[in-house]
Amino acid sequence: MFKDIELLYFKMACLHVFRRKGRTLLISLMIAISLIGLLIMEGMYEGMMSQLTQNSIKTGSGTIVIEHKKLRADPNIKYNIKEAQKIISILETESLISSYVLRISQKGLISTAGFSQGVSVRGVDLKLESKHSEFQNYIIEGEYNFGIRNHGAIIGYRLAKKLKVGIGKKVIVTMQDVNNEVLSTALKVTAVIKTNNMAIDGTGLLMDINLLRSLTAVKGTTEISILLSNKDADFKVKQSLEKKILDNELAIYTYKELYPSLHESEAFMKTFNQISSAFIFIVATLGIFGVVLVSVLERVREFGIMMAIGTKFRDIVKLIIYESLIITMSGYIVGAIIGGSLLWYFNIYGLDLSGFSDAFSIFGMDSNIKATIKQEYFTSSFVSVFIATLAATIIPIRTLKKRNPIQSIQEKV
Amino acid sequence: MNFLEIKGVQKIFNKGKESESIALKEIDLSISQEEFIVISGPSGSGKSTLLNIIGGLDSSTKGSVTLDEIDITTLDENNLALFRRENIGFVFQSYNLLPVLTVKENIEYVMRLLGYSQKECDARVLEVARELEIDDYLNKFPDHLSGGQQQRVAVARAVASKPKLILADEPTANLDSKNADNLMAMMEKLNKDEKVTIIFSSHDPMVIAKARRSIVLKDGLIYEDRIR
Repeated sequence: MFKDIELLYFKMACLHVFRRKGRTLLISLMIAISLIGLLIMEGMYEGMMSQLTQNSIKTGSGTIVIEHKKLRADPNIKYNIKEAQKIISILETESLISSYVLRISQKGLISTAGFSQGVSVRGVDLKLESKHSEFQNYIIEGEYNFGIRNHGAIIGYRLAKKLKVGIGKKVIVTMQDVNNEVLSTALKVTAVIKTNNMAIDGTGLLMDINLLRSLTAVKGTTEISILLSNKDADFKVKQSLEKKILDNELAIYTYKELYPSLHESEAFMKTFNQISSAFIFIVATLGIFGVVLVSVLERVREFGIMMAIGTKFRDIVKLIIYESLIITMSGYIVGAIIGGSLLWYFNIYGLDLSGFSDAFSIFGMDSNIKATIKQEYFTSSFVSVFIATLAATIIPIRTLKKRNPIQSIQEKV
Repeated sequence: MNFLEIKGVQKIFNKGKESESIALKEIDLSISQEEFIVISGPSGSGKSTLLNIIGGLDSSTKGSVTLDEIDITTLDENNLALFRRENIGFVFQSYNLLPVLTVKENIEYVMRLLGYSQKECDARVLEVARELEIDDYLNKFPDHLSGGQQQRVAVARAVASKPKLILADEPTANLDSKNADNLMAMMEKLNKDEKVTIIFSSHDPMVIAKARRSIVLKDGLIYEDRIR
């Protein structure tokens, strides 16, 4: 038995909902399916963007990069960091920095007997990089080393394809040294990598940093790549480093400054998700509205009786809202459970689209897309469904409000 | 002052429109407590309209209705609902029970609105149900009952909260003569035992004959007002 009148209203709402099983099921399913679609879309899109950003950060610049302030405008190797050791001692004091590496980068030309093309040569320490960019995880062919004499090269898979070279093949790399003298060196391909970072896969070549240093006569380093434990702390760490480094010749960039298009894509995806959510919200509102309107209109007489025997109009409103919420929230719960489970699955195992691997890699994305799960997906959709339900009841309630009890009782359905 | 005072009540439907029709023309009526009154008259004479206005289910175009010293024509929708809840019991021609509630829940509905405890509700429901011989159907839903049984449930709902006034609009219209007779006997008993004022409308001469006061309406006016 019910304890008070509120419970009686709730019971009446439940009974009404179950009296119209087909209709209840239809609208609940509509909401559940819309929510599943929305959750998957949000999670997958955000997962794709997250992978794209992570690929660029990890195998590219890092979350933050320090370099000579003229290097970007004039990519000449003479603009390098001469007192790298001093900066390293400062980096050691930053708790949010999880790793850093020194690199030397230079543009050059890579040639084989039949082909040649521009290349971005990057001198790296493979041991340090294994904990930083983790290039070893991206190897699709060969071994993660530069050979016994360190005259090896690890090249991007698209570059390897263009040059038609494989493991053990020799390539000639031509570039300028610090004095603008042209030099050439022969390197043996030891590994081919696929990072989904377009710059590395298409034109990237990794070689031993000490060999590159001796060839180019660069005493320092052209870039210090830094990874943070939380990428969103980029601006905070940049500001802290700027205060400590105090070198007018150096510039500190965050990944958002280096890849503005990535940041814009993230913002675009967020807007796209919001528009999609709004669209689904409107469709759901219309669906709920239709059901609530029909449900109210076919029971005008019943509401009239309730009002006649002393039920306040606001209690009738409550009853209508309870009914609508029971229908929509049951749809929400089913949708959230199924959608959440699917997101969890795709978060752990990913969605394998390896059939479209090449197309995805063009955009810097992995073909195995891992979904993101955020609590805000569920809270925002809950609020949307709740507001949609309330909004959908406004017109039916106003329709009922226009009638006095006797008009409602005399209503012919 | 009388228990119920109706002064200059007029009701015009669709006022100012082409379809305008006058249902009641300047009705004046005084009714004392514990009266057992029938309002009769031909179709369209204004019987139901008058009952609806007395019960605050419809508004009058002009005039006042004072029940137990409260002019209900001045009350807003909320207070009118509260007033009906506390003072008036309704019995409709078509029973008008709430289909999702059991017989017991239907009977105790107004009592729940009034804040009676479950214990009080249970005791009163049983008392009224026994009186109206529906205590065997308390856990059934209205659509499992016959017309006569449903109308007795409607009467039980109307009297359960002990209202001062019961308004019944053609309560026997959908009943056979035996059930109609039984219902009238029950209402007479309630009038005597519960000391509740009862006003009902009817076409049926047999039912009309049971009332102690008879008011006849014709073309929206009181044609005859007779105490037997």
